[in-house]
Amino acid sequence: MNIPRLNETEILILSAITGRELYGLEIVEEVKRLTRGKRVISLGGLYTTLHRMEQKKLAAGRWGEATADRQGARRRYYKVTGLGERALAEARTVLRNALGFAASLVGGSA
Amino acid sequence: MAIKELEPIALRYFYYEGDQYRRPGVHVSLTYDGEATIYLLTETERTRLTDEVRAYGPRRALDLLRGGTLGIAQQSVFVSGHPSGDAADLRVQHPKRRSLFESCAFFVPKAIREPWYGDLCEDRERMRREGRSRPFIFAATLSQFIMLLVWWVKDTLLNVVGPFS
Repeated sequence: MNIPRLNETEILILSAITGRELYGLEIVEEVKRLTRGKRVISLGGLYTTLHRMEQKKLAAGRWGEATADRQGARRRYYKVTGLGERALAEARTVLRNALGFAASLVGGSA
Repeated sequence: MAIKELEPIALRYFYYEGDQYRRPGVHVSLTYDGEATIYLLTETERTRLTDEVRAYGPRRALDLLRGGTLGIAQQSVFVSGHPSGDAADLRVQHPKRRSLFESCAFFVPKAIREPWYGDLCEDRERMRREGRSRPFIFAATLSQFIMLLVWWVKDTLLNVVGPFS
């Protein structure tokens, strides 16, 4: 199976849910924590991206509980799939190589 | 018992004396996928519905009632329990009114809409606890709603043009 290419939002979300199962607000908080507040994902952006990632089998979701302060709407918990892990590993390799090359150019010209 | 496990179609007749929501007369409740729609019937229509359902099976009720061949004054209520329960359960429930939010977000898939809406409610509750002002909470909610629409439109467009790029 071809490994899908990831965009920045997908990389951030997969990083947040690697090794654990989180729901929307927890993912938003985790992304904020991982990026030290430099990236904030809106709930709309998060769920449309997660929906696409589920279709691409990068993440798997399951319905959770509905609490009173959610007005009957259930939580949806997400975790990374095997394909998601491979796609994230490949994105990490590509970015590390590209950033390493860029750093060497900057270092060489200094 | 979960709604999914129920018989998909259930019909039940009852006489309703009427109130501000419904006119008096013979009603039939058509329960399908957890939602009951109540139709006001004439006696002739009731006889025809009974005969046709007997002849062609319960799905015939969908064609006749949802297709508008029979019944007037349709009203929807959500059934939380088993549809074979007492018809009186349906009578006491008020019809569900669709909010502006529900109307606007209708075209967004449920897998996105429901958890997004729940998280938004939770977030609004958190902001209230933090003592944020009402205009602030309103602005935050509005921006989340706009972001959902923007992302959804962008995603849909990418899906359409993606295969050709």
